[in-house]
Amino acid sequence: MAISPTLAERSAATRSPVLSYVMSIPTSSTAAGPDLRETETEAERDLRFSTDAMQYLDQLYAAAMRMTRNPADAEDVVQETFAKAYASFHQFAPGTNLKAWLYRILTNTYINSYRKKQRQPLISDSENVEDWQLARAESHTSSGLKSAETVALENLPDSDVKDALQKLAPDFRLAVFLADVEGFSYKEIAEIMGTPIGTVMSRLNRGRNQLRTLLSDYARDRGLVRQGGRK
Amino acid sequence: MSDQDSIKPADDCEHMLERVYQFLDHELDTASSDEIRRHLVACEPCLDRYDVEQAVKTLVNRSCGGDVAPEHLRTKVLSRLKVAQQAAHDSAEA
Repeated sequence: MAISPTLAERSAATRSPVLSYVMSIPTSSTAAGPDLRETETEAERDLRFSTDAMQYLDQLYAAAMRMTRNPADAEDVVQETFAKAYASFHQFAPGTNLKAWLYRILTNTYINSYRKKQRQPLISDSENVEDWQLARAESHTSSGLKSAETVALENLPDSDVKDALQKLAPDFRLAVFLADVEGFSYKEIAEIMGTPIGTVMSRLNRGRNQLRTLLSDYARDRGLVRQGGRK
Repeated sequence: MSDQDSIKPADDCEHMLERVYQFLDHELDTASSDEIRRHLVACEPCLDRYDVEQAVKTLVNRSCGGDVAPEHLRTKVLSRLKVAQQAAHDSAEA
C-alpha cells in the first residue's frame, strides 16, 4: 500500500499545469536579460498576449464554471478576465507566473462582479460538519486493507464529486479547486486569493472536511458503503 | 499504560491529522514528511484516514477540471481582444 504520494502520482497531478506554465515563459525574455517589455513593439506585445494567455482559456473556463456554477456566468467572467488581463498586461513581468496572474484576475473578477449577485444555498460555515466528521473518524478498525470508505469513495461518479464541490462555500471551493485540480502551491493560492498562507490552509482543511462528509453521504446513498460493514 | 512502546501516543495521531493535508499537498519538508510516513507505517487508523484524504484529492482532480471552453467563447474573447487592440493602436496614433 502506498503510504506517501509517489513521484508518479505527484507528476500525474501536476504534469499539465507545470508543462503549460513552462511553455508560457517566453524564451526570448528569459535568455535576453533585459525586460522584453522595453524593446517589443505594441504589435509584438499583442501577439505575446494572444499566444501566452489564450492557452489558459480552457483551464480558466473550468475554474469559472466551479465558481459561478453555470455556463453563462462562467463565460462572462472569463471574457471580463481576458479583457482586464489585456488592459494590464504591460504590468505583467515576462517570465513570471502568468497562469497564477490570470487566476488572480479571474478570482477578483468573480468576487467583485458575480459573487454578490449569486445567492444560492450553501453549506453553512459551521463546526457541525467537522464534529460529525471527527465522530466518524473514531470508528476506524484495523484491516490492513483499504478501508470500505476509501473504496466506496473511489467508486463515486464524476457528477457526484462535481456536485459536492459545488456545495462548498465559495472560498473553500476555490481553495480546493486550485490545490487539487490545478496543483497550485499554498503560496500561489495565497497570491491568487489575496490571503495569508494560514488562511489558505484553513480553507483547505475545512473545505476538504466538508467535501469528504458530503462524498461519504453520496456513497452511502448510492449503496456503495455496506451498512455495518465495519465495527 | 504498562507497555508504552506498543501504544501509539495520541499526540502522534493528532500531529498526523493536523498535517495530513500539508503532507498530501507536498508542502512539508523532507524531515517532516519522513516523520509522517513513519507514523503511517505504524498506525492503521491514521493510514486509513490518509487513504481517504488521498482518495478525495484524487477524485477532485479527476472529476472537477477538464472543462473545454465552448468555441463561441473562444471566438468572443478573441474578437473582443481584437477590438481592444485596435482601440489601443488608434489612440497611440492619434
